[in-house]
Amino acid sequence: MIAEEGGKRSALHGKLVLERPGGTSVSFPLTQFPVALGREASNDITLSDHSVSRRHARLVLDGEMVQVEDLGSSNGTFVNGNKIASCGLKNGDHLRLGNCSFAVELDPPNTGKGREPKTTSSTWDLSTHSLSQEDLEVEATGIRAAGLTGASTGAVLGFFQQTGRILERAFDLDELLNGILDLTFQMIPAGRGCILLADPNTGEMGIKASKTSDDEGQDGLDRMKISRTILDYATRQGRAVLTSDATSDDRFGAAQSVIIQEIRGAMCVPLRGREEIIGAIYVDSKLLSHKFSIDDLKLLFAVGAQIGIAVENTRLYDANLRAERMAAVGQAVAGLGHCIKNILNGMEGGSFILQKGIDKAEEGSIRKGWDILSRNSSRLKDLVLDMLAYSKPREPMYQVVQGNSVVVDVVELLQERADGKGVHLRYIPDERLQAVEIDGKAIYRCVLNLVTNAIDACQEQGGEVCVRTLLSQQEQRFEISVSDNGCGVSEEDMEKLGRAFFSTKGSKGTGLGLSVTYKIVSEHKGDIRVESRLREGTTFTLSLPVRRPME
Amino acid sequence: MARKKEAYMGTKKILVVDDEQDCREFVKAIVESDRIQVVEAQDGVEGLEMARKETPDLIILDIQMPRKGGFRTFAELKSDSALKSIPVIMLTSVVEKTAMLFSKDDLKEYCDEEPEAFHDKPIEAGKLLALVEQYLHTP
Repeated sequence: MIAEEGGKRSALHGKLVLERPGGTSVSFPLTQFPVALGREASNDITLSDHSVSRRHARLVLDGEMVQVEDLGSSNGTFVNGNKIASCGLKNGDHLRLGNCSFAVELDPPNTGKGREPKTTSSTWDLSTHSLSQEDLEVEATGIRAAGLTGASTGAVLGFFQQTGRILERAFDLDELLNGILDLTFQMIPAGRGCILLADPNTGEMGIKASKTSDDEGQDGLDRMKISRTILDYATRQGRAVLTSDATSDDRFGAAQSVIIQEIRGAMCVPLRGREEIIGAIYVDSKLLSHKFSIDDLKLLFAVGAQIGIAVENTRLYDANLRAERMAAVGQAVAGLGHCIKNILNGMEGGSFILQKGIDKAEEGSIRKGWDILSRNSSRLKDLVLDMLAYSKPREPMYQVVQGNSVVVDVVELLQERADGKGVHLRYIPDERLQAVEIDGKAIYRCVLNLVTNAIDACQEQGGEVCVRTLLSQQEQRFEISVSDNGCGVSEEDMEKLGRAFFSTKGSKGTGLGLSVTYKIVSEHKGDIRVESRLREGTTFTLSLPVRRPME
Repeated sequence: MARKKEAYMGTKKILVVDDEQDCREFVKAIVESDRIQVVEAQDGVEGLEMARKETPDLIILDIQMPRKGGFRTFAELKSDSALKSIPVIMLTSVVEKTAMLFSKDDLKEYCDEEPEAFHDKPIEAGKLLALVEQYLHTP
């Protein structure tokens, strides 16, 4: 519409900054004159406020001077508090139409060149943009001829795609915040920027990520003292703030932090979590050439809305992770406590019997007490070894060993135990099985665990345990299977097999043996099969690669 | 009076049900004397058999045992009219409730009754002896 009216003059640049009661502001760049202001939609600047007349006033160019003329409005036009019919405007003047107040920002005549906005004809109405919600309070205001200072629409879409990607995969808060800040700098001509988060306990805002553009030099990062005044304004009121020249913006008065840092333009948007403001994004610039537009604010506001929830999610995720870890640690400690107390009980008993034997000079009691003590100290040793094996991930210490000899060692060691329980222990090797590349000690431990379990599962009479080895057809894998005709594993317990500290052996079991076995086998890139029938028996089969698997 | 004293000074029988031999030995070493005889069982199944056969004056029962644990054994003891009056001391090495261990509260899922005593392992000899004396002499 503006472009069609050929009689208009395009001249010096400046803008009117509409100050909203809530503290937000909207800029209207002045690019072409005359500029009509009023409540009617046909005006160049539409002000949806009942104190403003339909055709309230207009700005005209008189030589180099911008002049404001009242068009017979009901509530009057005021410049710096004085009602006027017509008046020349200077930079820094205060213009009021009815209840609508503007800061007048006019650039000196010769420095305005070269800052032509990239887009000049976009007409948009904030009510159709989600930017405002209740915060920006500009929904009733039609704005014309606003220009994007930093980015095109396509770039904006790309930006949100990228932030989406960061949000999707960021579980780490630092990564999230720095990623968002980097992207923001690609879109907004900021000199310095930072993301602040409120400490969940104290509420104190602290900088969690910061960035400085090259233009701003070293000044920025070293002394990232941000304008507390602007920050407070944004976070306390929950409003997006844009100020094009904070040193002269009377919302911030003569605030020290603004003056000391000579901020020419600053934006600050709150980060909203589900319930409260959890932080803010702040960007500013000391350079006159870096001025922020309402579009920049809009973009920043949208970023703030997006990452507020993401930050909260990341924190929740961290908290959940911590809670889960604590629960796992708690369970492990309880399980260990249980095992150790059982062993202590044995030791207590052993020393009691030993003491009794010494007191009464009974050799039988001394021997018995001593046996109990030494048996329990070796249980403690086994527990600690299993615990350590379970606690840390480790690469198998591969070596070439005879596959059958690992199994024979276990069978020989446990023969006595099986005999003691009246269990018939058989061993059927596959003679084709020769050298294999495994962690011999670790696999020995696995087989030891399985055969011990098998013997324990057997009844007092007629118990049978059979240990077999088998080389696969392709000779790529080999199996070690341990079968028993014992009590079997119930369906319910089957799910819990291999879970640390789960045991059906009563106080004898630590519930670590199978857990360690599963862990070692999986470190070998092998697997374990279990077949079991209640009261009929169980077979565990370890399947392992013959050669060390390639990474 | 003299007769009564003699009656309870007579030989008493304690059944120790525990899967761990060391623990049975411990209890035996503490309580066995010329007037207290100890019989042993290594799980709940055997424990119930022994209880029926030996009719002990007191049962010391572990909780975590293979085949039949202490809670189920206790519940079955209490539902058997011949055995229900035998006092029971339960021993276990963990009392706090965790995902896979047992506490006194868990017993409620098996049985409404409670044992005479519920004690954490390891137990001191003196403490166990005092408990045993207390429940053996309760008429």
